[in-house]
Amino acid sequence: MVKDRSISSLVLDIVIHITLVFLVVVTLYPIIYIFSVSVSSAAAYEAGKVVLWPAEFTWDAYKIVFEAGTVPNAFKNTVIYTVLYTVLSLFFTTTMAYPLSRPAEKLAFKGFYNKLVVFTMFFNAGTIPIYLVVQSVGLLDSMWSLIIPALITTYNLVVMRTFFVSIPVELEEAAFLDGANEFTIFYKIVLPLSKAAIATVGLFYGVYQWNSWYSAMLYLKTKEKFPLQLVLRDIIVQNQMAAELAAQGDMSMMTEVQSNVESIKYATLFISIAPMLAVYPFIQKYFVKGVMVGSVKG
Amino acid sequence: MNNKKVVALVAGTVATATLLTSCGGSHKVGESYKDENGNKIYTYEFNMYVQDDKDYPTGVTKFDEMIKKDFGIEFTYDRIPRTNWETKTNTYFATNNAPDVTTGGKENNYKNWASKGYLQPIDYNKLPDWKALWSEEDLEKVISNAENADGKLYYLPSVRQEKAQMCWLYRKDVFDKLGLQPPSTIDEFYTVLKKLKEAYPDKTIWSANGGGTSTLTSMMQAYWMPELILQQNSYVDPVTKEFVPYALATDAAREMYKFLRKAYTEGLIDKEIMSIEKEQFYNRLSTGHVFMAYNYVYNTTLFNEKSQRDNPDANWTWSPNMITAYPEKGTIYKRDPLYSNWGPAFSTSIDSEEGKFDAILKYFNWCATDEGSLYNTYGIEGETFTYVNGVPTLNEDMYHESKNTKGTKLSTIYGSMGATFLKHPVMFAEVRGDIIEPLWETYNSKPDYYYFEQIPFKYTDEEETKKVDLETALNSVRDQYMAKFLMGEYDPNNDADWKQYLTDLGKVGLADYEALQKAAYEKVLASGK
Repeated sequence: MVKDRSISSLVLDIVIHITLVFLVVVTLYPIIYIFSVSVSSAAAYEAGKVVLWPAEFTWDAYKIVFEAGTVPNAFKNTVIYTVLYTVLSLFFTTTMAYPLSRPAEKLAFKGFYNKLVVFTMFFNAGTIPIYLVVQSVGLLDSMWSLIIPALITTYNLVVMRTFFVSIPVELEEAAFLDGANEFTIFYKIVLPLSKAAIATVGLFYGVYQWNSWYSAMLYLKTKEKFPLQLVLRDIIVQNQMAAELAAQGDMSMMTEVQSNVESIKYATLFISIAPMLAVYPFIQKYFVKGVMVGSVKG
Repeated sequence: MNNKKVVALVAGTVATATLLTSCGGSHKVGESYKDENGNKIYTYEFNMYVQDDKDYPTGVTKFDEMIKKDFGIEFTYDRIPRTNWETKTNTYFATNNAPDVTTGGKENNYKNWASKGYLQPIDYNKLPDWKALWSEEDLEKVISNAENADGKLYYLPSVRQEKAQMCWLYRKDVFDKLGLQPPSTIDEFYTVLKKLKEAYPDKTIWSANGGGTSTLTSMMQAYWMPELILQQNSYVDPVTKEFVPYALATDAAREMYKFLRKAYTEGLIDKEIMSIEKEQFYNRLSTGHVFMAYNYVYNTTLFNEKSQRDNPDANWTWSPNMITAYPEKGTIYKRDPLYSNWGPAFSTSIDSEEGKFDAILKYFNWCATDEGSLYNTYGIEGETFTYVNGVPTLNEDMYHESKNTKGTKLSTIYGSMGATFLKHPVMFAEVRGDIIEPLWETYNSKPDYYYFEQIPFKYTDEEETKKVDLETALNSVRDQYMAKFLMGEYDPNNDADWKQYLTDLGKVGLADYEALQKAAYEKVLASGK
């Protein structure tokens, strides 16, 4: 490849580099800032001494967070919910997407099923009916209430189905001639060829469950079952509510607020984002391939 | 083929099992039973909010034993973090899962649930000790404000022991150094701010502790509007008795905006006053940028803690003066309402069994007695407190709001104890009364100091919906213009700009809102309340 050494190319390179460096800075800064506040003293933070790097370094906030017990337990819950949800969702999504991706003659009422799937993309029952369903099947205050109602996301199903469509049907025919049945074809031929899409959709599911708190807030009653994001939300929003409650005569939250509440807030925040930051690089190579699914025809 | 049949059989079995599971009924707390002595025990699902991560006891506590023995009642608690309480409780009511007893709501929650038929009206004449928490005159005011449009009471208010909490806090050390006195009129206030700015040109001077447009509530009172006018919109002037249906569209509001614009232009007020967060305010305190702020009187300690980190000489103190723009007429201060509205409220299920409602009312009436107040505040004598010189005193290891914030809370030992309609007077004096009472007495001792009374508006469901819609639209325009007036995009001194503001309010229904509020106020007058 011949390198373009013209002035315009050089200028373009500089602009691209500046843009990318800027992008890196605006992406990294909040993460570094969160970490810096979490390991700085409350006094240093309030005095505005934390701009990028920690000031008056201390692990106190992390000690408080881990000693309190709530956050470690919530962290464990979130890991369990996320892993279970991702595995189960991938199972159900792939097993539903595969038949929908096959020719119409292999699946009766395929058009109807496809329309049914798309319908749920635009219309849903709403909070109250879903709550009633969760209650009627006895899932209230169970971790399954966070997993089962959201097992299949339509968007992810469509991504998966589109990927399966791109796998040549001749491969299946060859396997079929060799004696493989539908299950063998699916597990031994189709799935191994779909790692990129599975990693992508798995990431979508994983991130969704990791960040989710609303379902837990609605369906869970036992504090010991709360996921991390719900606990984090409590820490952040309770602080904001203290003044509101005090105005109504309840001062207990004002006195509950610890002096280093900001550091605790940021420490919890960092704990909640760290695992996702750690996982992402390992699936990035699949992710890039996966998100391109369906973008090129031919 | 056989494989397919096996799969079909398994899938069919799972589907059938799921359906059967969903058809099964679930156990409902709330049915009475007979204890070992043959006494009838009523059970209640008790919904409440919690606001810390403290553990609650899981077994039967002495409190549980006491209410079972003395009142024949038993609670099953649903403790919900405060941040989730409203959404979750709304869902309970909307899905026909209403708890028997609900505590922790705001008045609008209770009134809303009551108007939808979820709550049971309370015959408060069955609660003589609860009624005795207020004087007859005050009780009438409490009831008229707390009851629904149908004239029935659906929740039990608590006594608001804090009579006045809000005041101006100022840096006494700086004021003394510059020979300044805490201001009492808007002109004095302006002079003080100017002198502070001259002495400290790079400082913020006057700021507020976060909260968006509510950071300017001190100025609303200076211009004779209630502190909570941004929520209430209407008021009755305590001197002229004139009813003002939408305060932020009056000449007084314009004068307030003119003053704020001047202060903002001259750098006397925090440039971020409309968007400041609590953390930013603490930052200004810690770095000695603020010399005046309108806040809770007991926050003097907190302000000093923050300010004295870098400057041990910093000395925040509360001002005995509120500020008024109309000194010839008088001065406005915020008198806290006579009651707080945490509840309890009772769902209609409470009446499912004869005697169930009366049993729990008997218990809540006891909570309002001296004995109940002592129990709920101090626990059990000999276990969590003792009498020292005739005064109840918590054991050293127990939590105390001002003396031992690391101690064990009563709720950790006894669980969540019913309702505290009135904190025990000794405890109240220790934790807050000693700070609040002097402020209250100061305001009361001053001539021409007034406060706004709550207006017991009552709306039908249709009126309520219309009111909420109009308020949403009007307040949106109001808040936009508040920022524009302050920051200079519009000038309140300019007639055309002010007219534009009123025109925009008019477009979203100012006239309709004023008519609605006037009609509601006339109903209040007609009712004699």
